[in-house]
Amino acid sequence: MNRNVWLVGFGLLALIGVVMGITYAMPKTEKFRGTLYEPAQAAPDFSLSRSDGSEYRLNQQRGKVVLLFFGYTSCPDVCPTTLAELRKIDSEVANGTNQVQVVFVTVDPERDTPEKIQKYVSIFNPDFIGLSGSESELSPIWKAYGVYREIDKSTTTATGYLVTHTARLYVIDKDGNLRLSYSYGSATEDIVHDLKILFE
Amino acid sequence: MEKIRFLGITFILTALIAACTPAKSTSLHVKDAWARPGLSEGNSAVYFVIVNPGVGDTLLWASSDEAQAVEMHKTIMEGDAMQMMPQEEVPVPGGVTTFEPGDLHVMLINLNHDLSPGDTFDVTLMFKTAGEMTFTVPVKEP
Repeated sequence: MNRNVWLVGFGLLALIGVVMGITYAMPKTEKFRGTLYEPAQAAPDFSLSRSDGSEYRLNQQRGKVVLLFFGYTSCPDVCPTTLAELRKIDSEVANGTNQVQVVFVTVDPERDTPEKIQKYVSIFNPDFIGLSGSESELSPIWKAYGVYREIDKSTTTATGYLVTHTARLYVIDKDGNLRLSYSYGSATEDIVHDLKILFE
Repeated sequence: MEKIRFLGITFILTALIAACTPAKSTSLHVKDAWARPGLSEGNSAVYFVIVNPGVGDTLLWASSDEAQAVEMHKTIMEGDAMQMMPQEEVPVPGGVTTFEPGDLHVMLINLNHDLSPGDTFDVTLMFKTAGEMTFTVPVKEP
């Protein structure tokens, strides 16, 4: 009887040891807090002219994490709120390096010239990139990223017209994959948390 | 005599303490105002908190000399889509009404000059009952 008890006890301890060993050896999956695109998919590429006449092409940004947001310069609330948050995120994650690139693409090409949008994002951070183009250049980009955009010219406003648009933040990793996105209002610390994982 | 002196000193001390203690406002007022930086000919937003200790009121309009036009707007999120809706007037029930990012805001349209952090300017609100109210707004980074 005593021998059997010892055998059972030893067997249980061995089993626990094996389970712990397997658990320790297994690759750990980090938990992202944003909306994860799984499996990771190549971010839809695009090319737009910058205000200085040079070309910005997304697939040439390998090695950097790109934070992509769509908005317009006449927007006084959501867009500057997001850009101000991106400034904080960039400061916390990139910490003076150029590993993070914030890109703001217009949904209002009628009013946002490349010069105007670049000047606008520069008040948040001179390293931020503002991009515009013709509607025929921008429309496929909006579509590729699932950006809804509607011009409202029926509402009376001194701005002329308002633009309803998707206010989601897209994260493209250093390999050019669309990895994460965040709805407007997502906690800054969640975005910072996820970006730090991408930099590991 | 001693009793009279004691009462007199007590009265004076009480009056001094009462004079030094800030009075709790019993009328509608605005606090915590701030505005975003903005570029000349661009737009910006002003945010603040309206405290209404009384019965309901209505905010009829806002004005400022900093822009060509001033409007009240509300940001509405429908799923991921952001929409701004001009507000003809804003109900101000008893309690607190907050103008904040992602919600109600006063929109400054076509700024007369750059608004930079550290600048200040005046904004006037007109309430149906409380009347006109002007306050100073600092420009700051959120």
